[in-house]
Amino acid sequence: MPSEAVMDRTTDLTGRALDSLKGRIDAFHAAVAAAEREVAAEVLRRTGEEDVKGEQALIELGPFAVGRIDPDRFAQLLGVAEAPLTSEAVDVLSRANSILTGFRAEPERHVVDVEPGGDLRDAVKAALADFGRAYGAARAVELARAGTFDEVAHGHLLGPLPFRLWHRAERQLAPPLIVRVRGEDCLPVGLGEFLDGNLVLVLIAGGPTTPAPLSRLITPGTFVMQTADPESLSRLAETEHPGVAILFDEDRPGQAHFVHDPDAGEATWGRLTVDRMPSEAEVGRGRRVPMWVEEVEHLRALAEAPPAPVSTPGTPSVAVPDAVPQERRAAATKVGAAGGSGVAETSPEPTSVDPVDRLAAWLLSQADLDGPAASGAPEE
Amino acid sequence: MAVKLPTVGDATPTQHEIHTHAVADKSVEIVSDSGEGAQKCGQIFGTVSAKMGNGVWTVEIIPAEVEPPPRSPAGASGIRIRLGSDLVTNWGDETNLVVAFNEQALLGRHRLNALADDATILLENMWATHPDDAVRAQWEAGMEELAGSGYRIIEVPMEEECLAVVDNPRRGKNMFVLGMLSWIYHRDLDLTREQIAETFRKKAPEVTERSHGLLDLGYTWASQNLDFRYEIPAAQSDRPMVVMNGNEAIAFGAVAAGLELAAMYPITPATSVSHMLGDVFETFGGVVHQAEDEIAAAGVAVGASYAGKCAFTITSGPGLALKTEFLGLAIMTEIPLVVVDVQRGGPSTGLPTKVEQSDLLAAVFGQPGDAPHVVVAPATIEECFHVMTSARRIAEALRTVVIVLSDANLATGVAPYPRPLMSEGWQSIPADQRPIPEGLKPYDWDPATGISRRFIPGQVGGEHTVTGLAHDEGSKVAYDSAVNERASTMRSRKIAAFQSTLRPPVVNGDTTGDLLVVGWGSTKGAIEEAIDRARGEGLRVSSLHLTFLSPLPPGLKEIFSGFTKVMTVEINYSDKPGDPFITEQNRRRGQLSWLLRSSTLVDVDCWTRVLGEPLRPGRILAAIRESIPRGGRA
Amino acid sequence: MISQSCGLLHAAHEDDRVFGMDDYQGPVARWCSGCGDHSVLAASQRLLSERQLAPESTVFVSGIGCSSRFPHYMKTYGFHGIHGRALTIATGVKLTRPDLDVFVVMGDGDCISIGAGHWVHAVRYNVNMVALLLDNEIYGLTKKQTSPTTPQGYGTNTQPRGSYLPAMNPLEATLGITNASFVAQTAEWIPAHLFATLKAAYDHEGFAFVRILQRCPHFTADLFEAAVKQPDLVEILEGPGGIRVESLDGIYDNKVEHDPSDLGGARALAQDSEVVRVGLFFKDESRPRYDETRSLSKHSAREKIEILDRELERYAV
Repeated sequence: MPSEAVMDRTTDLTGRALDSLKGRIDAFHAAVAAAEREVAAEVLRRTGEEDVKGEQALIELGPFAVGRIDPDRFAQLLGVAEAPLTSEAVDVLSRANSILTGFRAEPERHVVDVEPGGDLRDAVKAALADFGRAYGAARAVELARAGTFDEVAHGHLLGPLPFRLWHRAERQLAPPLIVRVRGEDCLPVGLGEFLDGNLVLVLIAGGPTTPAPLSRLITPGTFVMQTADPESLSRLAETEHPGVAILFDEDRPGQAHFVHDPDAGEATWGRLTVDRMPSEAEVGRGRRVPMWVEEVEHLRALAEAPPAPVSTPGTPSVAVPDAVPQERRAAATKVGAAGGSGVAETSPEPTSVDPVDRLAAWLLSQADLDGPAASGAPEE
Repeated sequence: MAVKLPTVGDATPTQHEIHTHAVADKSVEIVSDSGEGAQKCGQIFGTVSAKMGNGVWTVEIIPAEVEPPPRSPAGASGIRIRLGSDLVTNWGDETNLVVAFNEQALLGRHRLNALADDATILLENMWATHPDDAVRAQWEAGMEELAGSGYRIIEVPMEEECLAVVDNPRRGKNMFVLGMLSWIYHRDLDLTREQIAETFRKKAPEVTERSHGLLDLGYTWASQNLDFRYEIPAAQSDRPMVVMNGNEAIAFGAVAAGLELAAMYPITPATSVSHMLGDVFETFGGVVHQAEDEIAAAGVAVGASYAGKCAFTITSGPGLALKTEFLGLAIMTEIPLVVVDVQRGGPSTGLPTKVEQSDLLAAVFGQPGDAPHVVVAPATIEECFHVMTSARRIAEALRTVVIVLSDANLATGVAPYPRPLMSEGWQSIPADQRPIPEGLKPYDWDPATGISRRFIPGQVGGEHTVTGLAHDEGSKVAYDSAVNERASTMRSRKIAAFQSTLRPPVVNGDTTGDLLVVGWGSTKGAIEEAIDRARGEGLRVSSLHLTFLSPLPPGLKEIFSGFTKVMTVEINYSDKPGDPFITEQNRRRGQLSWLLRSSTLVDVDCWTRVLGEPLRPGRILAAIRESIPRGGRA
Repeated sequence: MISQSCGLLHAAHEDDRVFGMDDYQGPVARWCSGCGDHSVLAASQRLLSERQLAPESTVFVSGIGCSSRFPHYMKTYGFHGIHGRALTIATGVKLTRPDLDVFVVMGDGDCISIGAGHWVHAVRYNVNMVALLLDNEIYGLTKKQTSPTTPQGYGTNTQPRGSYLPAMNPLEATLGITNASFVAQTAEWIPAHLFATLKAAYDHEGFAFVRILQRCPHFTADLFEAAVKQPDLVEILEGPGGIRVESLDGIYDNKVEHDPSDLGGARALAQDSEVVRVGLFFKDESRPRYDETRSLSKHSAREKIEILDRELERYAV
């Protein structure tokens, strides 16, 4: 069992993570609350007795209207020619709305604990399926309002909805999760399937972990970070990509610290900033498992900048990549990737006399670096 | 009559007679050069009085320039506070008590006839012995000019006294004055200390300490040297109150109403709405867009509203003129839009900081082409808050423009009102984003009401182009005259349909009589006070206050029929009967009277003034006495 | 971050649509035959298809003039507003609905004359949208009046002996506005370049200003006649990060090397010259964007009321 000190630290980190993700949590709950209001208004509009509609109209008009506007007549004016809701539909709407109501701002919902020895992926999957009830409820609402809800075909929507069934737009609205897991249970490779849309995960790892558990989740469009500094979670919070971060409960030499930000560059080595690469000796501490070494090696390979191209006499010398400003690198790569500027795209030996073209072409030849990571999507 | 009072120390309260006047209503002004803290002093005094349960109306006296020359009549800056036992609804009549930091500021107020003939004046007298000859000469001349008045001028060595506590008495004199006023009006000193601490909470603690010292000093000085006090009993109310000005109320009301974007361009006296909003929106999101000009402000609001968000724009007369084309567009395209016009004197740049109600006809009829829409005018600071919810809702429900006419009187007047019990239901329901059912058109006007369902970008199947050109139900450009006739009818019909939901306004006083005074907007408090006094005198007079100016509420003609004469009272220009060239036919009338005459065919008279100040109840009363038909006395 | 405008209920509708050019085609355009507007319309529809923009989430805003009929001919949402004010409406849309893709279509009178104030400020706001200036150097809809870009000496109905003053240079002017982040010029008679430019403008994060040179067959058909017939009179700006159109190789070979991050170079190239220069003059995505500094509330109605009630406490007596 973890000591009390460890628990305190974890609680503190959870709070910090919740603070960082507050904007996302608020946005999710605002979307839920807005849907809830819309459903309630619709039920009222399409079922309410005239006087109830009048009362509602008066609430909407506010106290200024009291004595000045006849709310019943006002409501009548706005009576849209919509078919009244069937009692079945009203039932679905009210069930859906009670699900939505259940989601009211409870930040704790976004915190998931993995039982000691438990499966990280299963825990995340279950938590997301639980949030999926909001999407299921919303879908049920849409079907019910349109009069096409069928209990047999759609009844399951009023229950958990696994992440794999979420639509693209639903994934864009995905709520963030903070997962507390023991270091030794922190095996995140199976989380890849959830890194889609706008979902971000923060894993708070208590105790030692492998050196770079997230290294295998680095793909061109995924924000990936390992850190012991809760402040840096703000970068995760702001990314427009799916993302995952490990927040270590303390700063251990054997754990790599890095950030892979899809917006930071075109090539993997441009996007990846490694703040700490554990040395062989550090990795060697504790249990030595081949996977540990493998993780570090993988990270090292991804982070490594390619060697500088050889300068051709008679042309202006090209700066070595490290000396080229980041944006310029990106621009150069873009040109190359677009197949422009008359560069022979497959030629490893640049022939153009234009230094930028040559740089671009050369970079392109290195673009295979992305290959292993991109195709390394984890399997279920 | 100038009174030299004994210097401090040689008098105790027992040595001089103190007359305590129990009054129901009293106003006081503190006037000074800009930057001497008169306004801060008055705000604290007003807030403490509100907390003690008094009715309060404060209004700032603002010179037209940012830094007018010191010691000049035109530079008089300060604040006027009217206290009452009951709710105070307006700034009242001439001031009874004045605290003046110099005789020039006092002269400024004197020359504007702002002071009661028998006003008591507490005047800083350091200028009488000023080393500069010119200053002493000004003092002498000023005192001479004032000598003919009936004022009771009490010279007070304010700075000299303050030296006991501070090195630089110019800063802090205002707290000494606060002390004097606290004694005169029996204010709760602990409450005042708390309010001082709250006011200076962001400054160093010494500021509060020093201010407390000056407060005590002024209090003691007054108790030892002055011979009059006022007792204004407070009518205690259990309702929690808030105190703010009308612009702040509009800003709060806008947020409570769910408005999310305020687009504006700086213009007096409307701008402070955006200051307040900027502050509130910083706390939880929302956009105050300071546009490149008034037109762009309207455009951004129209764009946001078109996109399904709740937007409004704030302006004053000159800005309203510039927004005209956009108002026409919003009406033509049936895009909901709330426009707040905080009226000032006009035309053109007019009187930027002064009140007028001269935008009514421009608001109702100002858009070229036939452009039916809604115009509503809050009458109190509280209504400034609540009008925003109704305005937003009406604009969205009818897909039209709602113009809210406030004015400089409401914008700068500060008064307590019952704290709003806000409801989530005031906020707009999120825009429907569902796909548009097949066959539905963007202007499927219900022929009975002219109302149609709004399409929002993002709704699948609702793709269409809104256009300011004449268009049909499908938003297709009309090449057919019948289409234009039908569309015009529908846009007008929805306003008529809305009018059918309005209730007839309620008459203040008897429903029959010799004279009915009709007002609108911020004059309500002053008019009703005048009516009460007139009725107290036995005059058979009532008043009617109109909130909806377009469309006008039903039942007006019936109400008017109960009175021998109907007369509007407004702060806008009208020719006076008997003026050169003026006849019954060519007379240009008060703006509301134009509207009422045309809609009811009743011969509605008017009494209007454009003095650049709110109407005084006493002057309205005088007008009532003159206007009441002969033989009208009960 | 999460797009607040896309609600939960909206998200419930699965969207697996694939859009073709047809999906963006509105009614048949009623412009004169030979009008450059047709070319821009086609390129825009191609862009939308290429980028698979959902028609319901795309808004074309225009002002008044021939080219401002544009939105009517798209099957997207559109706003045909008032003369000169399209940018203000578009700003309102994008500030509150960042989830929508916003395009602004303006004529030269619209943008450079009556709407000049908005043009200057929209460039400075740098709100993420595409602004197209369809510049035929004349007022067409009102029948041949001098526009700010009408060449000096060119006769019109209002200045029959020729425009009195030198024409305004919209590129030079735009490049002179603080915080400009994307300035390009293209020509309707080079469709491939027009399309590539629209694509680059759309992909730009910020306010992308594109001046499209175009012929008015009725009133200014002769203005670009030479450039249309002689590709050598067109000079194409090329360089890393610029707009590259391979299919034009061999036809338009008059090229000038230009780095779009070089503002000074861009200003020099933007000056009036004998040749018609097309390409990306300037681009800088690091410029601050007004729409990134402003956002609507993410709080629910209930939370807003709660917060507001706390704010009100400060005014309580």
